[in-house]
Amino acid sequence: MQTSVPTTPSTVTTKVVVATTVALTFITFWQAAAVVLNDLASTMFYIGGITEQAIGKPAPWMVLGVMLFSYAVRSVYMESCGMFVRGGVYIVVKDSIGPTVAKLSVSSLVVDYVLTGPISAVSAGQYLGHLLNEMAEALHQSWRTDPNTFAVFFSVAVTIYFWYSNIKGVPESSHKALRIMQITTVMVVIILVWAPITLILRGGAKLPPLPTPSNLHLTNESLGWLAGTYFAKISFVVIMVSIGHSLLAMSGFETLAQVYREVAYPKLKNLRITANIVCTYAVVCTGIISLLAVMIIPDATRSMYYDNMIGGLVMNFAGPEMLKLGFHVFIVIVGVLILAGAVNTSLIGVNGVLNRVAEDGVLLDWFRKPHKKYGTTYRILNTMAILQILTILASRGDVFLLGEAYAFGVVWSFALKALGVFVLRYQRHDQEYKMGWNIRIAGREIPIGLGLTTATLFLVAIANLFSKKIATIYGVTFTIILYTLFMISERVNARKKLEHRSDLEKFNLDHQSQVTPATLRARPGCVLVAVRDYHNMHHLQKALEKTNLRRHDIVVMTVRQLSTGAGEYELRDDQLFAGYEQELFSHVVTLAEKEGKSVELLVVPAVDPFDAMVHTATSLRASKLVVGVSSRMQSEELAHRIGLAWERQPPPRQPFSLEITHPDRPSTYVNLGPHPPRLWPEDVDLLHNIWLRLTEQQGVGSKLHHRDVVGVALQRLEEELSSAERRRILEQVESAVHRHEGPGAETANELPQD
Amino acid sequence: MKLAVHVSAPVSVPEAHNPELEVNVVYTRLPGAAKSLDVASGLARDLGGRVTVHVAQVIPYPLALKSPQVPVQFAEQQLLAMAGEQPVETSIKIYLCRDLTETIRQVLKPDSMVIVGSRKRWWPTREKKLAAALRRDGHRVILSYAD
Repeated sequence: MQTSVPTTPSTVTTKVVVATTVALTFITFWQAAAVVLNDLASTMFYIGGITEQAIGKPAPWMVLGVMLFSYAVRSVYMESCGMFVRGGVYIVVKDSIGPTVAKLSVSSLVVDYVLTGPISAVSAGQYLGHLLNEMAEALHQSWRTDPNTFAVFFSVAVTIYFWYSNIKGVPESSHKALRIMQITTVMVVIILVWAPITLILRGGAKLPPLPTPSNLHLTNESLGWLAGTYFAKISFVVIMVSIGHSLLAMSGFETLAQVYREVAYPKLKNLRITANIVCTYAVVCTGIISLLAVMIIPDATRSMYYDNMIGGLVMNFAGPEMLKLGFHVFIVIVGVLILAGAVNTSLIGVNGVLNRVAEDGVLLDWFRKPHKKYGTTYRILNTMAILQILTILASRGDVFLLGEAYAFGVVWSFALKALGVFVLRYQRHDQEYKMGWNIRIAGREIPIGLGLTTATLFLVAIANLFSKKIATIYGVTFTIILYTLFMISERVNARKKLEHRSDLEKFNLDHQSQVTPATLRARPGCVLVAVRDYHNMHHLQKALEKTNLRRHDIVVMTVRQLSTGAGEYELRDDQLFAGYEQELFSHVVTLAEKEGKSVELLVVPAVDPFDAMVHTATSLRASKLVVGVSSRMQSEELAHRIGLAWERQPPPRQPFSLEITHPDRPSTYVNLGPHPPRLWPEDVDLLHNIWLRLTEQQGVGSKLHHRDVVGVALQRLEEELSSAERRRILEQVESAVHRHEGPGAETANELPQD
Repeated sequence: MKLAVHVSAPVSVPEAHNPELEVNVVYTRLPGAAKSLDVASGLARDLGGRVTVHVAQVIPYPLALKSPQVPVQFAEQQLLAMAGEQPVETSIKIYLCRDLTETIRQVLKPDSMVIVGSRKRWWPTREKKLAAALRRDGHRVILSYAD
């Protein structure tokens, strides 16, 4: 086949480029705080109700206390961020205590993430359900919905929506976090203005009772396994159990460790500002609003609003009903935005954490199989979405139940993180920031602040273990399942790694600045076989069977496809010859060994595989290039592309034959470059008849050859192409092409095989 | 014993007639990307230029920028397969970023010719918003619909 394209350039060798860049943009402390608060502030919508159901009227003080305690947890995170750029719980615990506890910590973090989705979605559903009822009442309609049932349907729908969005891998811009927090702030400010006005107008407002042991009314349900035991009478235990019921107000702090890397310079100072904004905001919006809710909503009706405490607060404000209803609508919109965002973050977060541990070989590769169309790790997302939906269904829309279970993951991931940072205080000495209250005794630093925080978190975690039956059963079961999965995965991956190593051939890379017959130990006229997919090697099999090694050597090449762009640099060996090439060439070697024929192996990095194949065939002065039929391209198109690549080669161009093999039919042969044509049988007859007629003429006789006839015919054709006859000739050419199309056309291209 | 694999120096596509002329293709999602690449390739071939594909892969918080939801290799393989079938020189640049519009605005040269792959929707999609932002920046923008 000959093609002609008006190109003059030459095939050159160049350096190659990084295709992927991390566009790191540093964010302000406001943006960083908004990202963290999107997680952390969402708890304000449900924490008040959950805590009051568990410990009684002093609940807001406990929530406020926990939010103040969050300043201490903030310091733990700051200390860890100062040592690790990305100091998430898994990294910190793995580095300080070891991989076993790290697996436990990551299990509890996964429990945290898995439950963040359901509790946020169910809470949003509760707010929406209650609002619909209130609107129906305001409009004097008899229609009502059961908020629990509505919350279940709503939560399942929200979870499915974000599951699908994550499967598609289309994330929202991070700027949306800031926008949501701006809207939330508007809501908080209105509440903080309207609530004191209400208190002043009504007068006689009373603060909730202080959280002293005598005021804390823990039910048997909130005491769990401690109910009726000696421990339930110990004030300290009661306080710890109460804190345990309020601690989930701090959920979302882990995000602080994730945003640290992107906080603008000076990093640590800005992280401190970010953390302070987060803690202060949480104290105000979660702590103070919970307090105001208890002060404004009458005791008699407050239990009606446990699932939508802020909604209840607004509906009990002083003012016109329609204005309150309007603000209630606004609150629900904000709630749905922030809580639905938390559902999305939970899926993104759990996917990220599990991918991270999978990179460490602690999760089976099965989970990481990319989605065929979108490339996302759909199996992790499917599993997590199913778990979240099952949790929603099991909860029957009960936020309190979900809150109880949720606390397990939150408190244990905090406790293990703090323990990790505490251990690192003795293992490392490169802390850029140290939590306060450190004293020195005999030259040894005693981290009082860090120690107290860690101890508090552990005591709360232990108190939760005995007092929160649901959390313990759910959390421990889930953690055991996850931990077992991690252990099994680790062993399977380790064994696979060993098998993989023993199964595959080992290769040494021999870099060649120029590929020539001498450097490759392949004689000119060799057969070049291009391989790409080790499931599709029939063409190599055929070439091995047919090639006589006494006449031709075999070179098997693969193209390592590259992209071009800016930022040139030399390619590393693992970029040129990765695991896939190792596997591919291992299959080549196996086939060659089975056939008992030796092959030379060659990797050609290139942007265009067609250029690479032709360039290599030319450099090696190959007699034939063998390729397999492509599933993406018809053999005619494949031959055309290779032909175009041949035309792009700089002169002198090496002619060679192209063989495109099919697994179930004869190969197609195409000659690249100028070559004697193989004539159609009727044309051979015509040529012979013309030759016979001409030899009868005087002066020609036996001296005339068939080639002379063809030569004269071609000269005449060339002349007539520039004459008025051109149109008629082109019509004839077109008709000749059509005449020879059809089933027989391909076999007509065949050449005798080697 | 280890077998020897010869590794040649990289082989590049020969330079086009007018390599200064660059047709930029911007993707926000991989499915449907082939259509806009075909449009860009056709344009670049007719004008004797080259194509640069910009893929801004937005990484949501709390994921690290280096840990995208869609593995980079997956995106690279898909784009390389698409680019490999184009008749003109094609460069692929993938950016792992937090904000799509900001990243694309930063990487495009002034007065660029840009093709934005999109889907036909009656509402303002992110691609339409991006195209509008790029037009405001003075680029020549074409929206290419995959459906």
